[in-house]
Amino acid sequence: MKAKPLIIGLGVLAFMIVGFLFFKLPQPVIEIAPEKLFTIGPFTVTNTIFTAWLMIAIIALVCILGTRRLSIVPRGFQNVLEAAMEAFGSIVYNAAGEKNGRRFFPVVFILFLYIVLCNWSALTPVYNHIGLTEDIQEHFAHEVAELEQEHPGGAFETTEKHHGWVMKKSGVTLVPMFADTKFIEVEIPAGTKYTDAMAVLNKELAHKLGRDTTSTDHSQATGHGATGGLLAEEEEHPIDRGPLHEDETYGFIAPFLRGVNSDINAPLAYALWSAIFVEFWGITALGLFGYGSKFFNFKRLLKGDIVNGLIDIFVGILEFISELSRIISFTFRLFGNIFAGEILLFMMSFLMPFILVDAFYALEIFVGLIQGFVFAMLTTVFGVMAVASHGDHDDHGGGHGHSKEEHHEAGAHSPAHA
Amino acid sequence: MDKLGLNLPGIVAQFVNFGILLFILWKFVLPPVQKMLDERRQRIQESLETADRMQAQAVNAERDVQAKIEEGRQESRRLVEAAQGIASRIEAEARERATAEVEQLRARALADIQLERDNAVATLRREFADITVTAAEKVINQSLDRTAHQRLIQDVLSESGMGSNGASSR
Repeated sequence: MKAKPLIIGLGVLAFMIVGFLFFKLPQPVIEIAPEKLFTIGPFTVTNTIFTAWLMIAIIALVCILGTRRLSIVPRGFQNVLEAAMEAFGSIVYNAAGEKNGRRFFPVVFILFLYIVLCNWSALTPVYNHIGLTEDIQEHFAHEVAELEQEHPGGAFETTEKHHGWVMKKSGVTLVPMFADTKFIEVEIPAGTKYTDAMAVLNKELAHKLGRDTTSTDHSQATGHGATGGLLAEEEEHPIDRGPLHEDETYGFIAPFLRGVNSDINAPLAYALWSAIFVEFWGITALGLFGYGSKFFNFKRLLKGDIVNGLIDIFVGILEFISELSRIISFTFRLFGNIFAGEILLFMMSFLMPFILVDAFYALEIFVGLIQGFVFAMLTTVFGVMAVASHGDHDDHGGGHGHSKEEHHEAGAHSPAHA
Repeated sequence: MDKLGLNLPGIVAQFVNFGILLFILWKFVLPPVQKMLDERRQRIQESLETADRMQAQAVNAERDVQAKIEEGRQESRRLVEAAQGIASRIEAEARERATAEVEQLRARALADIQLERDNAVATLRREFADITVTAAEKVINQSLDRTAHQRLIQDVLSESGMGSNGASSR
């Protein structure tokens, strides 16, 4: 009777071992900045921007088509959207009260929806693994040539690192599945002259690949021959391919689709939207002067109370800094979590491709939801703080006169810096 | 900054991207759904209220019906009692009237009897007198004055106490 779990356990173990032995991904090439895909005029489209366009198109289309014929008895997509709105709405109304909740809801719900859908979609296999091959040697050659033009005879001030795979040359490609694709990191030490940099890179590459210098010379020769037929620009400055064979590239893959929130620009953009709306709510609720006095409070200074007046001004400065720091914390919280999750999945796929990685996928589904929720709820809470009159801080100092501010909704007193 | 990939065009692009989504959903998707949610909530509330009202009405109606039944029962009891009262009165009256009638009849019968007896006595007396006179005439052979004779007999009868009633008839 005990045999069944044992067999299942052994099967799982065998499966993991097979994955580990034969289906290991190469050590991932991790790029923090989103990879560039193509340019429209002066504007460079990165893969995260491209993914954002795709996500927005899909979300907008599905939402519009799904809610075209609404009925009082909901069915299908209407039901899903309504359930999400109801559940989320009740949380927002609880936090902000009915009146403010109604104002906040569209913004925070759309933030939540977009962030969560972007996070979840990034877990599908079409993301991160299909893309264009980026040639590091080519990029580096261009970079060095430009630097040499700007500062003739200059040298690198800091150590430059490049990492990628040596793989077969191709245009659109999958991330090479087998671990024998070599992950190579090359270092250009500080002080290397721009003119020597390419040679240094190739020497490092040859050393890491374990190919001798004679073959390097040979390759260089064939490299010259091969580039002869390429673009006219490259004919003038042929790229020194170093130790690589003719059909090889030292590079990485720029995926077409990459999680939108793993590009720091996207969380920063949401944080800016969030901040704009929080300020807007504050100003519309308290008036421009009422809200502005949170930051610029000269009332007591003008009355002649120098000490408290100066404290008020200092508090205003602190308030201003805290507004700014919110944007930064919003940005890095979302970006950090999602980007770290992506790396975690890369690394787990590299270490243990089967079974074990699923646990981390489940974790990432949870993290994706929670991050969206946290972003939206923090926006709600900041909104509540913005629409609440800050006069009650003064009243607490007086010890009496609490009733003056009692007409504000209960939500206004929710924990502040959550 | 460059290593992080932070750059102005990227920020602007993502800012605009989210702005577009915000606009589309806020303008075209959320309002109808929100309206539908509110409408449904209102409808549910209304139907709950209606149900409450209906139930209250039903309870009221039930109470009314009970009250009506009770009232009817009391009414019928009252009617029966009244009928019984009337019946007993009628009975008493009937009995009284019957008794009175019987009494009357008896009285009348008694009077009749009295009359008949008086008549009979008078008749008897007259007959008897006549017979006596005739008998006396015959026996005595003496023709007496008839009127004097009559008076004589009358006196005799008065003395004996028999002619007190019959005296008036003549």
